[in-house]
Amino acid sequence: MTEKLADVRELSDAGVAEASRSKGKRARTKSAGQVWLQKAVEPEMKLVKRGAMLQGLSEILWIPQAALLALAIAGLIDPHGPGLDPFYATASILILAAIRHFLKVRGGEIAVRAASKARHRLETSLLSNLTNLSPATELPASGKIASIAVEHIQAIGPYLGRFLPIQARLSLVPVVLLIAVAYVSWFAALCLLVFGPLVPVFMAIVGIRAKKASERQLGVLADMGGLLLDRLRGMETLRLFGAVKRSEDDIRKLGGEFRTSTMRVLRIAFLSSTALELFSAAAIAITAIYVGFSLLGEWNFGAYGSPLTLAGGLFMLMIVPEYFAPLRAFAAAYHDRAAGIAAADHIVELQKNLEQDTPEDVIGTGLDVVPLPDTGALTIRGLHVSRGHRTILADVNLSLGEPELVVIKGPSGTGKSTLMDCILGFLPSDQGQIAYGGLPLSSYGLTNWQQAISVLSQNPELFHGTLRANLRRADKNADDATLTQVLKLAAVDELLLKVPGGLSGQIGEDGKGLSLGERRRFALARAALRKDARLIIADEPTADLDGATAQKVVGALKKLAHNKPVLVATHDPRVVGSADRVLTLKDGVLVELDQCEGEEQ
Amino acid sequence: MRSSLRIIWLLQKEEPLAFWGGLFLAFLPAAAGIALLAVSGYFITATAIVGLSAGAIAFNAASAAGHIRFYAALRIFGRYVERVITHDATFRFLANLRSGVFRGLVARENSSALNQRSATALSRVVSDVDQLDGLFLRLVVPLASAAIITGLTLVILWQYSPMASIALGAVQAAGLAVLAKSAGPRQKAQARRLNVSRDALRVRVSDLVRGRRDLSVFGGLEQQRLAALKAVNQLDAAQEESELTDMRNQAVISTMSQVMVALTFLFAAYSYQQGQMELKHIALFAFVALALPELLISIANSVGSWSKMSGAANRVRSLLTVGECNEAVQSARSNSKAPQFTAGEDVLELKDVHFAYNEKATAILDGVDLALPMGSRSVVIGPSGAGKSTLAAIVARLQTPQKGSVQIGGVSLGELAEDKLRATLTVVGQRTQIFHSTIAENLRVAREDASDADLWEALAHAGLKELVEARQEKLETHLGEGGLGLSGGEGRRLALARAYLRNPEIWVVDELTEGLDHATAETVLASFRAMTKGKTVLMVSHRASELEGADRVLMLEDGKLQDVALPLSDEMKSRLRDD
Ligand SMILES: Nc1ncnc2c1ncn2[C@@H]1O[C@H](COP(=O)(O)OP(=O)(O)O)[C@@H](O)[C@H]1O
Ligand SMILES: Nc1ncnc2c1ncn2[C@@H]1O[C@H](COP(=O)(O)OP(=O)(O)O)[C@@H](O)[C@H]1O
Ligand SMILES: [Mg+2]
Ligand SMILES: [Mg+2]
Repeated sequence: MTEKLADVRELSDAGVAEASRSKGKRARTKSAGQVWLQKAVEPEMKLVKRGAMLQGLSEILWIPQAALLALAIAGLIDPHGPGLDPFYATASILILAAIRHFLKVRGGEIAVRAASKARHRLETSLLSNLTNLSPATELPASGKIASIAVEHIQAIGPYLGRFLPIQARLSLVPVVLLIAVAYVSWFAALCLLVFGPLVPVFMAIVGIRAKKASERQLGVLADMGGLLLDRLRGMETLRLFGAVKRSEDDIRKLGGEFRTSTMRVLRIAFLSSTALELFSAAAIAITAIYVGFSLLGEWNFGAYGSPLTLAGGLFMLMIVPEYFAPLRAFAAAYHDRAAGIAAADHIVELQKNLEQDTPEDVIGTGLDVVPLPDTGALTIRGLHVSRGHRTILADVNLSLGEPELVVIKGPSGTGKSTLMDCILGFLPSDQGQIAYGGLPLSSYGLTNWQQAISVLSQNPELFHGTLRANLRRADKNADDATLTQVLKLAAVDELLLKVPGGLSGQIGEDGKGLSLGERRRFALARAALRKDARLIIADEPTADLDGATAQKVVGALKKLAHNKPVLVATHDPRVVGSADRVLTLKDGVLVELDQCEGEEQ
Repeated sequence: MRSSLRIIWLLQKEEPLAFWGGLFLAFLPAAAGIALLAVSGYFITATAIVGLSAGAIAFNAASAAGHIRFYAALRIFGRYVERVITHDATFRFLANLRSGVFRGLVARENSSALNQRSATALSRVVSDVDQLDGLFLRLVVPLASAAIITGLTLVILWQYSPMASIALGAVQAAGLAVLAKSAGPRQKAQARRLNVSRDALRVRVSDLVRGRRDLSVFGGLEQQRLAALKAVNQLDAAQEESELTDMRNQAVISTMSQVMVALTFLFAAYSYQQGQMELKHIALFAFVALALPELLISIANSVGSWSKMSGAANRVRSLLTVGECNEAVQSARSNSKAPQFTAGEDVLELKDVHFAYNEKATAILDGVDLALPMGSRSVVIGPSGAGKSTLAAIVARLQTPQKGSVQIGGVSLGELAEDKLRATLTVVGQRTQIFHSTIAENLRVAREDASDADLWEALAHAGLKELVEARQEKLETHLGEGGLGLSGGEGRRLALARAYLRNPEIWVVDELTEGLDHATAETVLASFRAMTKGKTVLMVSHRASELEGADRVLMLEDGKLQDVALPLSDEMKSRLRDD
C-alpha cells in the first residue's frame, strides 16, 4: 500500500526520464504528450512545489486548532478532565486561522503564477511552430488548429495550476495528519491507513480510462471547431443550396457526440470522487462509532492501554475529514490531469505533423545560410513533381534572369500553379533542382528566399483590416504616396474613392467588401510594392477582370518587367500577346512557343 | 444577469425533470454530509456523558450508529446520481443551444458588416456555449442547496441556542458576501478582456494557418505571430488573474470555516454557561460549523467565472434572439404562393432597384430595371467592381435592396418561402466555396439524397469526370481547406457540378468559366447550354465566348443597367476578354 503511495508521489517528481528508466516492468508507458508536458513544466516544478508546501503547512495547522477546540469542548463537559478556557481557545484558533490564511494565499499565489508561466511558454512554442509550417501541404483545418491553440492549451492550465500543487501536497498533509491521529489512537490511525492509500490505487485504475475518454472529448471538440469554421466560411453556398438546416443537424450531432464523450469523462470523474466519499464517510463513521463505544467503556483497545478521552475522540473526529480533503481534491483534479495529458498528446501530434511537413531540403538547415545576391538567374533543371500519385511536372527546365515578361500557358489543371509553388518553396520536388545565382534555393534559407519574391497568388489572401495595413504587409515603411502610386499602377486607385475612408478604410476577412476583380488588382498592387523583389510571380492576374481593366493590368505587368523578371501563368491572349517569351506547359514539360507554333490560335 | 436567468429558464423548460430533480437530489447528499458530522459529534459527546455518569441515562447507541451509516450512504450515492443527472441534462441542453447559436450566426451573416470574423463566430458557438455549463451546474445547484440547507440548519439549531445559531448564520452570510464581491465590475472587465483576447488568438491563429502562403512571402508571418503572441499574453494574464481569484476565494472559505467553528463554539459555550443550552449539544454546534462551509466551496470555485459566464450568456442570448427573429421571418414566408412560370411571361422582374452596402458608400445599383422572360438567356457585362456580383446576390436574396421590387414568378422575393426560392433559383457564385471534406460530400451539399450515379453524371457534365476517376479514392477523395488539392479551374467546375445536381427554373451564373483555358471553357459552356436548355439564364461575364448564344446583353455601369445592341460593336468587344 505504502509502496503505491510512493509511486504516486514519484509521479510528481519531474524526474520523468529516471522514472521511465528505473521502473522496469511496472513502468507505465508514458504517452508522448505526458513526457513532453513533464519536460515542459520542469523549470517551474520547484516553485509549484514550494507553493504547494506552504499550502500544505497551512492545512497542517489544523492540528493545533482541532486540539484546542477538542480540549475546550471536553473541558466544558468534564470539568475534572483536561480542558481549556473557551475564550482562550477561541482566540488562539482565530490567530491560527489568520496564519493559515496567509500561508494558503501565499502558497497559492506562488503555485498559480508558476503554472501560468509554464503554460505561457508552451503556448509560445506552439505558435512559433505554427509559423514555420509549409504553406502548400494539407493541414488539419484552420479552425481545428485554432481550437488546439486555444482550447487544448487551456486544458493544460488546470493540470498545471490545480493538479500539480494538489499532487505535491499529497505527500505531506495526509501523512502528518495520520501521525497526529496515531498519537491519540493507533486503531483509528490504522483505519485511515487502510482507507487512504486505496485512493491512489483507485485513481490509477480510473486514470487510464479517464485519459482515453478525455482524448476523445478533446478530439470531438477540435473537430467541431474545424467543421464549424469551414461551414461558416462557406455559408453563402450553404444558404444558396438550402443546406443550412443540414449543417445545423451536423452541429447538433457533433454536439451530441461531444456530450457523450464529456459524460464519459465525467462519469469516471464522478465515480472516483464517489469512491472517495465512500472512504471518507466510512472513515468518519467508523471513527465516530469507535470513539463512541470506547467512551461508553464497551471497547477497550487501540489507545495504547489507557482509555480514550473525550478530547482525544473529538480531536480525531475533526482530523478525519481533513485527512481526506487533499485526497478528495486530488480525485477531483484527477480529470484535469487526464484532460491536460490528452491535450498535450494532441498538441504533440500536431507539432509532429508540422515538423514532417517542412522538408529539410527546401528549408535549408539554417546554419550555412548564404546571403542572397541582389541579382542572379533562376534556373530550373529537370524538375519532377507528383501529387497524389499523379505526375504533374515531369521534366521542367526554365531559366530566367533578365528583366522580361515570361508567360506560362497551358490548360486548366496542367500544373502551372504547381510550378509556381515549387519556385516559392511551398512544395518539395521529387527530382531536379531549382537554383538562384548558381546555388540551390536551400542554401539561402527558405524564409529569405520567399521574402525575396513578390507574388500575386491565384487566390490572393487579404486580411481583415485597413487597406493600408494590407498593403504594408509587403513593405512596412511605405508611405501613403507610395501606396497610392502602386494602387494607380495596378489600376485600383478607384478604391480610394469607393471605400469609405480611403487607405484607412476597412476591408473584411478574405477581402470581403471588394469585388473579386478588385481583390486581384489590389493584390497586384501589394506585389508591386515590394521594390527589392528579385522576381515577381503572378498566377492568372487577369482573371475576374473585364477586357478594359485586364488591359491596364497587362500594362502594369509590362512596366514591372522593365526592372525584374516577371513570371506569369495565364491563358489570357492579352497577356500572352505582350509577353517577351511564351512557354507552354504540356504533359509536364515546358515548351517554348515557337517550337509548337500553329498548335493554337 | 438577465441573459443568464433567461438561459437557466430555457434549461428549465427543456429539461424540467433533470432541473428540479437535480436540485432536489443535490440537496439530499449535502444535507446528509452535515448530518453525518453533526450526529457523529453529538454521538461522541453523548456517549462521553453517558460514560461519565456510568450509564445512569438511557442512551440508544445503536440507533445513533444507524443514523451515521444512513447519512453516510445517502451522501455517497445521492451525490453520484445527482451529478450524472444534472450534467447529462445540461450537456444535452447545450448541444441544442449550440445549433441555435449557429442559426443566429447564419442569420446575422445576412448583413454585410465587414468586421465579422468567422473565427470569432467560432468562439461564439464553441467556447461561449461551453462556458454556460457552469451556470446551472456550478452556480444554481450549489447556491440553491447552500441556501436551503443553511436555512434549515439555522432553524433546527435555533431551538438549542438562538445566539450560537445567529453567529453561525452571520458568518455564513459574510462568506457569501465575500464571494459575491468577486463577481464585481472589476471581474466583469477582466472577463471581457479574457474573451477579447481569446477571440483575438483564435482569429490570429486561423489567419495564420489560412493565409500562410501570402504571409510567408510578404513576411507577415512574423508580424502575425507577434500579434498572436500579444493575444496569448493578454489571455494568460487574464487567466492567471481569474485563477488567483478562485484560489483566494477558496482560502477565504476555508478560513471562514475556522472562524465559524471558533465563534459558534464560543457562543455555544457561553449559552451553556448561562444555562440556556444542554451540554451534549455543544459538539453538535462545533461540527455543524465545521461542515457548513463545505457547501460554499463549489461556489467559491465557480463564482470567479461568473463574470465570464454572464458575458457568454449575453452573447449567446443575442444570437439566439437573432436566430429566433430569422426563424419567425422564415415561417411567415413559409406559406407563400409558389412562383408561377408560364411561357412568354417574365420569370424574374426587377423594378427600380436601389442598393448600397451602407449609407456612407456610393450606391452600387441606382435604379435598375430588368425583366427576364421565360427561357431567355441574358448576359450582364460591365467593368470590374460595377456591381454585377451584387446584382446576382440581390436576385438570390443574399442582399436586400433598399428600394425597389424583385419578383420571381409573380411572387415578391421578400415573401417567397426559402425552400421554394432555392428550388426555383440556383446561383453559381463567382467565388468558389469548397468544403473541407470529400468530393461526394461537397456535391451533396446541393442534393442530400443524390446517388453516386447522379454525382458522376454531374461531374461528367462539368468536365471533371476523368480527373476524379484518376484519383485513387474517386468520389471519396478528401479536399483540403478552401479546395486545396484542386486547381483553380477544377474547383470552378466542381462548383458547377454542384449546381447541376439541382434542376432549377432560373440559373444565375457569375463568371462561369473564369480560370479555365479556352478549350476547357468551350466544352464546359457547351454542356452548360445543353443542361440549361429551356431554362431562364442570367449570366455575368467578361468573356466573349460566354456571350455566344445570348438573347440579350446588358451593360452594368455607374449603377445603371442598359441594353447593348447586338451584334456587339468593336468598342464593346474590346471591353470583353477573348481568351
Ligand atoms: N494536393 C494535391 N493532391 C493531388 N493532386 C493535386 C493536389 N493539388 C493539385 N493537384 C492536382 O494537380 C494538378 C495541377 O494543379 P495546378 O497546378 O493547380 O493547375 P493549374 O495549371 O490550373 O494551375 C491538378 O490536376 C490538380 O488536381
Ligand atoms: N460586402 C461589401 N461591403 C461593401 N462594399 C462591397 C461589398 N461587396 C462588394 N462591395 C463593393 O461593391 C462594388 C461592386 O462589387 P461587385 O458586385 O462584387 O462587383 P463586380 O461587378 O466586379 O462583380 C465594389 O466596388 C465593391 O468594392
Ligand atoms: Mg492555377
Ligand atoms: Mg463579380
